[in-house]
Amino acid sequence: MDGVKTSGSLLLDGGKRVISARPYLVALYGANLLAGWFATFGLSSRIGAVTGTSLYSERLVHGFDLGVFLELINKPEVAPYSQVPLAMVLAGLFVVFQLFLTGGIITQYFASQRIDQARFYAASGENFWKMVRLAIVFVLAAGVVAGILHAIRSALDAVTENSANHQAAFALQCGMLLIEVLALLWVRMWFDLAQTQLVATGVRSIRSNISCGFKSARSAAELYGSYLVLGILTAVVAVFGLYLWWTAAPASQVIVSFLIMQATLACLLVLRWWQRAVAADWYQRNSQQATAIESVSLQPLPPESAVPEVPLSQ
Amino acid sequence: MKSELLGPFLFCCLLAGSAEAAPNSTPLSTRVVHYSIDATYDPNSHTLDATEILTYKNLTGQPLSVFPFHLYLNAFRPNSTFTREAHRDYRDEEWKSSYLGAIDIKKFEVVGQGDLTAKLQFVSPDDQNADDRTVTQVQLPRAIAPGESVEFRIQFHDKFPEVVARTGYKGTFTMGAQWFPKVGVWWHGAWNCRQFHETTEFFADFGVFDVKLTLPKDQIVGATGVQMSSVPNSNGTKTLTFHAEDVHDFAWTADPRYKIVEDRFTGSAGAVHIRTLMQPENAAQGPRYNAIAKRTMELFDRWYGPYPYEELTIVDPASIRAGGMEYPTLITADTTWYMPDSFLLPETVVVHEFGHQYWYGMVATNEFEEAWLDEGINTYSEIKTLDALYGKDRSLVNGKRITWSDTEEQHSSYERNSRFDPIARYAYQFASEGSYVGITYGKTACALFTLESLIGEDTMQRVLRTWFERYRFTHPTGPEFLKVLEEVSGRDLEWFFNQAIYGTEVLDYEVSSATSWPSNWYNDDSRSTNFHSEVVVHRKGEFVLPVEIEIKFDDGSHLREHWDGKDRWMRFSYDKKAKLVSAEVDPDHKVWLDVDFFNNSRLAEMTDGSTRRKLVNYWMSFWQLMAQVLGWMA
Repeated sequence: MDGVKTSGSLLLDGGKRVISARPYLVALYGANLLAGWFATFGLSSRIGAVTGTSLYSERLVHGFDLGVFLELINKPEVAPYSQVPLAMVLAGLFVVFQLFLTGGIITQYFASQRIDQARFYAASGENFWKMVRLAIVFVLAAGVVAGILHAIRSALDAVTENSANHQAAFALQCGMLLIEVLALLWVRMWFDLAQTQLVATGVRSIRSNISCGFKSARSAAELYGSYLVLGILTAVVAVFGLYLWWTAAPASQVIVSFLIMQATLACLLVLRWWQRAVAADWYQRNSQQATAIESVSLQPLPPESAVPEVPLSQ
Repeated sequence: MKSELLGPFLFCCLLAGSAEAAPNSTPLSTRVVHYSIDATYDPNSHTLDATEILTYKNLTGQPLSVFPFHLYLNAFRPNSTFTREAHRDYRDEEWKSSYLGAIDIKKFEVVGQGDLTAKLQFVSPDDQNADDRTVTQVQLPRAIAPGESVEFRIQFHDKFPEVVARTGYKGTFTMGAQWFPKVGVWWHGAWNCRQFHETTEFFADFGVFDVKLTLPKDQIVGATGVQMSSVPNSNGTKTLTFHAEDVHDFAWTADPRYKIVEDRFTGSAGAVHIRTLMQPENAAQGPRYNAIAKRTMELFDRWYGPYPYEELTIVDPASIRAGGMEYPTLITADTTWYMPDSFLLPETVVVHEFGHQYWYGMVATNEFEEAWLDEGINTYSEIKTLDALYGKDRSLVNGKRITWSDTEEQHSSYERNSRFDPIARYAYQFASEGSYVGITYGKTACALFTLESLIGEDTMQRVLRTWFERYRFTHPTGPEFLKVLEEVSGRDLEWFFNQAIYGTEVLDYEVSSATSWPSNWYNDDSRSTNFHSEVVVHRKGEFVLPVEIEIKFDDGSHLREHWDGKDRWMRFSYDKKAKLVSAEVDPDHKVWLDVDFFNNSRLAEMTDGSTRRKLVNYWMSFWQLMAQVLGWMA
């Protein structure tokens, strides 16, 4: 049974699943905002101590004088780099929180109606450690792929280093970078499918989920196309957000700048979860045990054998 | 000054394919040397074979029997002084076999005294590095009497390196700089012929260069001076002849890929042909180079004096390592194939390198020993030019929402290195390259701007004009610059020089407190409308400089105080019917030697925190984005 009425379009149906999980995505965005806000605590007072009584700092309010900014951050009493460890820890906490919610949100993606909070948190908790392990393997796999491609790019750089044609060398670098991005997007899709499989089947073996995800991803051209579209959309949103911030927000209007930046960041978060929703939709369409999946989503998780660990194909 | 008619004459010579030199009837400089070089360059092996005839006129007033020569291409060896110093500052930089460069003297003959090749010996006057081969000297059997000329006939072979610094090849591009044996300068009673160092540049006598360069037909060439002829050879090569007068170096470049963009500037000394050699991918920026070159030439002509040469060649190099260099009538610029109009990097480099035609090219100070006299004064001139053309706060980045001035960049560079070296230090004796750059370029520029605040902008311009007019085509020194400064300004400025140029004293003034309180503060029942205000200004550094302080009150009134800065601190007190708003040292923002501008002012009450909120907003959004990027991996 399909959790969401299908329209034939992966993107549209994925979008509907995103809407069904919006309270949790709002919570995720809230956590993101909170992490960012906490990261400012030390720095805010440091900057305030220097700029609060200085006329010179006004050059940063009306416009943005890069020279003044560099002088400010080079001051030992400001030293923003000293706040980086705290910000990194908070970013890490956000990642952990997202890992925790992932199981619940994917469960919601599979459901035909809003699942209750108890079920949501049960699914989140039940899958948390498996998600952590999957994330670790993802980092390793993505690292290997990125490493190999980076090595190829470096080798090409070495070959083109003596070329006086900077434009051609730059185009080659861009081309290789694009290949790296596309490859990493595919690896991400592979592990998204593994996460989806994990929630759908409850299979405990990480190796089994990764293997099935890989086999499924090999033949998921339509899904990859959707990932690509959403990836492009992410880039467009980021560029548009920056453009809007650059052109529409008056230099001295911090609140307008804040709203534009936050709207952009919220959109980026949603787009990422839209990709996962599309993966869930694709998985459900291609699953031979669709009816079993709904029961998995709404009822206590089935035994590992309830959903066959077979590669899915379109 | 050259005749305005010389340009058309040389042009006719060029059309006629004549190799005849056109000597200037009125030399602009004391011509000590005449180099006549016949060179053949092979771009495939990056090697050059040449015969150099150097005629040296002994104007020293005493007999000379020892002659030292620079052999700069030998700097590109792993044990040279240059490479050792570069490795000290750039530890991650790997040595590649292609970086090897060399100049070998095959035969060294002195007319009338025979073949002295065996008598050549390498010397290392600066650091006694026995492996350094950038200076060689010869003892002549017979001394050259005062007023007598000596002719050296030198056969040499160059192996150009892949560009490490300034000279060499990259792909099809070649920059031929410091490529021939160049005699030292007899200066202050001794030979001045320093080794090639990481941070040092050049110092040589003025003279005439006649250079024949043979190379493949497809090569597009630019060089110092004027091209007199181009003669095709039967073996697929061509021979170009160049003539340059009243210059002290000769550089050339070749690349079959160059796109030529030409322009013309007419100044007070006549027309100047601007020939810009662009890498094809940067060709669209050729007019940008030429436009800024013309505007700079116009300002320099007006401010300091005429550019007396007929030619200016601007080279867009294939390697950034060859970029941003100055040679007589030839400069190398720097850009990338994509460079938004609001980023003024190409403009900044062209302005700076053209400025060197004055401060190095004509006012030929010793770049080894007093680099501040060319790099520092030139950086000051560069900022003045960019400020005049683009505005004071946007001379590096001229964006709608973001700005950055050249002065700020130089100040930042100086501030980071303010405590290491004095300006007046031999270039190769600085603590590091960072200190050399920060002090020689940044601090000197900041010192000259601070000086400008003391003597006035117009006076400062007259100082530089006098400096140029009096010392062009000579080798002046720092004390002579001080003399011109004091003469033109009519003020004793030795106290300033002692601190700014010869000392490492740091200049840092702060408003340490700025407060107001009701005059009858003890009476809780009826507060007075009179306020007592106090401002304390503190000299944090050792550098003593008279400063102005602007005090503002909440009734809109403001006043300026003057403090000689001699004591450590100074209190200013006021009783007014208005509360203090702010106090600011150097309100016109002219004292660029001050290392910290944030503490120059103080508000009696905290601001509304707009700056803090703005920056914190950026910081927060950035880390949210970072969290999401990390989250992508989960």
